[in-house]
Amino acid sequence: MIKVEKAGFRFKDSGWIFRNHSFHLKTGETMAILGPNGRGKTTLLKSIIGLLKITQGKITKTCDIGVVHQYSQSPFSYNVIDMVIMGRARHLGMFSSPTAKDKNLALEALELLGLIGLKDREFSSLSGGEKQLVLIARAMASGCNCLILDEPASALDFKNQDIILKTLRDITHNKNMSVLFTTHYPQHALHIADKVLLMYSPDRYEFGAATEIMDDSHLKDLYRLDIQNVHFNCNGRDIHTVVPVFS
Amino acid sequence: MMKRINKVLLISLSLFFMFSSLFGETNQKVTFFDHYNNEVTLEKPAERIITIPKPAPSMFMAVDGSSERIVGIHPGSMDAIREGIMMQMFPDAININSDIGNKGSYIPNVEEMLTLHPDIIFQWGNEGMGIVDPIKNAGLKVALVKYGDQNSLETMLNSFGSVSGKKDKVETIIAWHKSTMSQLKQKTDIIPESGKTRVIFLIRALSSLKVAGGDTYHGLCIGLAGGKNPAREIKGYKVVSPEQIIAWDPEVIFLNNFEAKLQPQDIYSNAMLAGLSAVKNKRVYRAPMGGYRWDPPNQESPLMWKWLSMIFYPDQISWDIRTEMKEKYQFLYNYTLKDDEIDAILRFRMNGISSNYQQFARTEG
Amino acid sequence: MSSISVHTGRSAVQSQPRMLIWVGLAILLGMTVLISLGIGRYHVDFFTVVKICWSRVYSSIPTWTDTDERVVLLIRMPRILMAVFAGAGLALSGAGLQGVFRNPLVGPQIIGVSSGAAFGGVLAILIWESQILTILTAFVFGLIAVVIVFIMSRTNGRSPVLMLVLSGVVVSAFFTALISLAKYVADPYDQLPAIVFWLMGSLALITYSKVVIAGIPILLAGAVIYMIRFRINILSLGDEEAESLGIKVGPTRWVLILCATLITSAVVSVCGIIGWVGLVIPHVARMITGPDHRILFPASALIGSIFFLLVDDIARGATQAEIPVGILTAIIGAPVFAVLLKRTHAGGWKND
Repeated sequence: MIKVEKAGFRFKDSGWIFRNHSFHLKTGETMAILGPNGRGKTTLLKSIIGLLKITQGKITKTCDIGVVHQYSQSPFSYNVIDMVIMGRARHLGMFSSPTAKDKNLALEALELLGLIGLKDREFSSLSGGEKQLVLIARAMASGCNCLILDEPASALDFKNQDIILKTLRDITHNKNMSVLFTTHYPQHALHIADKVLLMYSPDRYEFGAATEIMDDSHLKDLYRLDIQNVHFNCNGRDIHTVVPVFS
Repeated sequence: MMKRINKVLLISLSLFFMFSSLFGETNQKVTFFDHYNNEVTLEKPAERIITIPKPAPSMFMAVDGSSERIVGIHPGSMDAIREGIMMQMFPDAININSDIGNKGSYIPNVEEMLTLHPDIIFQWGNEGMGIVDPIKNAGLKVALVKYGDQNSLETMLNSFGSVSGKKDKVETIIAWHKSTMSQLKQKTDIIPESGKTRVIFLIRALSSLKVAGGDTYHGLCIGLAGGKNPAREIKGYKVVSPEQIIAWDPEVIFLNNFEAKLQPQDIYSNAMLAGLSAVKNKRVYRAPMGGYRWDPPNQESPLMWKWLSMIFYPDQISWDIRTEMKEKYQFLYNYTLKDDEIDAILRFRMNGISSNYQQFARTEG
Repeated sequence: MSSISVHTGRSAVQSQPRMLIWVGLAILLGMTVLISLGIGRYHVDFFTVVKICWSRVYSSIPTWTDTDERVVLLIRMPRILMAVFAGAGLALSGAGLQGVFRNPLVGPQIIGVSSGAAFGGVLAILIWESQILTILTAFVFGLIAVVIVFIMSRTNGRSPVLMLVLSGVVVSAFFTALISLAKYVADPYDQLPAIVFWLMGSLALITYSKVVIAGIPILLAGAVIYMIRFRINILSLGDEEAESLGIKVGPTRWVLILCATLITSAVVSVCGIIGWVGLVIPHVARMITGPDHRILFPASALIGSIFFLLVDDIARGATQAEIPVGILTAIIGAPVFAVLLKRTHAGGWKND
């Protein structure tokens, strides 16, 4: 699990990006970080991953983290299986290469996500949704028990968004993993997250159960736009979601 | 009537001769063309001369028979003077100012030159105007010389002859060069092409294997001495692999004077070249060093050509090099060569281990 | 459309056992070495060459002359070995640097080592005559250049790639300027031709001892580069992604750069400047194997050695005078690179 206590971050000689934030993520829980562009979601995420060092406060991690970025920035076009095997890197010394065991773990991760048929395809030739799933498989291959994702599904079409969200939900249930993600979509948070963190401003945030604190007024405060909680029935399922009211 | 005409004639003639001898004395004006067809004029033979090309001082001293007129030389020339017999022949030469340039290049130190008040400066013309213009811009007179073949050698000698007023001596030197060439031609023409000795010249043997091609002065020397240069298709001086030398299989190799530590033993102990005829028959020789190094074009070149011809054809060609050296050194430098000095010039210590070198030994013990 | 077919076409190659690529290239190298032993200005017929080589393994009564044996074993063999080491080393270094810098336009010159080592050699030619000292000076200056790059690129305890590249450019330019200065003050009859010849690169002066002197760092550093092949895959993703995967990029990057420096310095110190091999060969290799450095590295090394060996055969065999091999690698390398780039649409690299 991840425990963040009074964490704050600023670049040298700059204003605070966030200050005095405290929250925690328990094992098996899913948490979403919400806020408009530029509020520091990604900076907070990077601090938790360890890419940035917080200026004040404490972050305690008692889990193995696997990170899933939105894109893979490599100029090279690796195969899917080679991409996923890279997830084993943290277990291999500088001079070691993956063994058959590592390759099997990678294949298992692909199987888990239903991607085994793509293993010899070039990563760059996949669709956006497939790419995101491969990156999740890569994180899974590392044997982590906490997935951290930066805006998963943000750049995908609806169908792919659904696939990603469903995958994340299945993973948490079947493998008892924790998931932490940032997102632009309160709908996604409502759909799969147990807890949410709303980042209003560097000094102001709200942390709590997703269903409780994502009411209309909080969301309007957060996004400076009218956002309505709606409930309706679709094919026998009770749906609770939020809808932005555009001008 | 006749008596009066005779008197007038006598007086006119005497007056004429008197005046002409006066003119003869005051008309010492020097005019010549340097190798690049620049006209150079001096009011009278130069008394203060600076030379930048390395072989120049030695050549000038050969022409002038003294080092008095030379006030400035290249530091590389000073090295050459110290290394060879010039020091014995012209001991005062060691006092000549050699700060007029730096060792590694031919760039002139014009301010230093100005302090020496030279009448004329000799500089290479084949290295670009960058090393000539600063001299001209300082208002100094400069004559250009060129390196590399018999023609430019003779032009350099002629320039020196004009500048020192010793044109007659230069004529004799050049005549000696030409007559030696025809003497050699007589002896070498009778050797059939197939019987000519294969000779290569290594301008570098330690830092790399670099041979002289057909169009170089060394190529010319080989030809004059009756040898055949297997590298004659190459232009200039080029690096070759040991394998190429093996393919040529030279019968004689002669070595440069530039690489200070080089000696025939270095070739004999090179495992890669062990199979060469020149190595098996021990016919590797380092070029002698007289008033100047014998391998580049210089005033003593005819001695070099004759020396070479005896090396190539020890059984067929023979000259009395030692005697000729004594004669010519007397003529050029007004110096009596001793036998020990001849041995040193001919590099007996390092060439003595090679074949047929005893033919150059002194005649009595 | 065509780019997609290229992609799927290469996927089919990928699924073939990598062993095939290894073995195929190794056999090709062996054949090239054998053929090269038979090439040269002095004619030795091919069967004699084979017999001479075989006699080292299993002694037999010579049916050839001493000269034949001398030419094959004493003159050609060390040079061929050096060409193999140098070609493999340079290509391997180039492949590693391209991965670390995530850029196909880099070769060993990006880290300043080529210019530094070149200057070291030029300085040695100016100052002293010993060949051993030339080798040493070149090697040391290659390392010095990279140390300067390291110091210059350091910001807040890290070396971002951009700073590395810029520092490399500056250091290269600095040493290149010093080389020009050295050429200017060099004796035009003695030192300048030696400097120019050395700058153009040549294996004409290779002996067994030089093969050992240069071969040891090349083999050792090359082995290390091979060992970190998987890490280079990770590094090629970019700093952030690599660190997210739990890898500190700094140490791996510097291990690669140090090894590339050792290899390049070693090559430059005995052969002068050899360009294009480190830049072009990894591209060719990547078109065959794809970007996975676990197979790209050995492929680059093997292809590099085959290519450089063939080029040096031309340099020493085509004409009486030696052709500086660095000129040939440029004349051949540049157009080949242009053609390859165009044809395969930057094969191995994603379109932006």
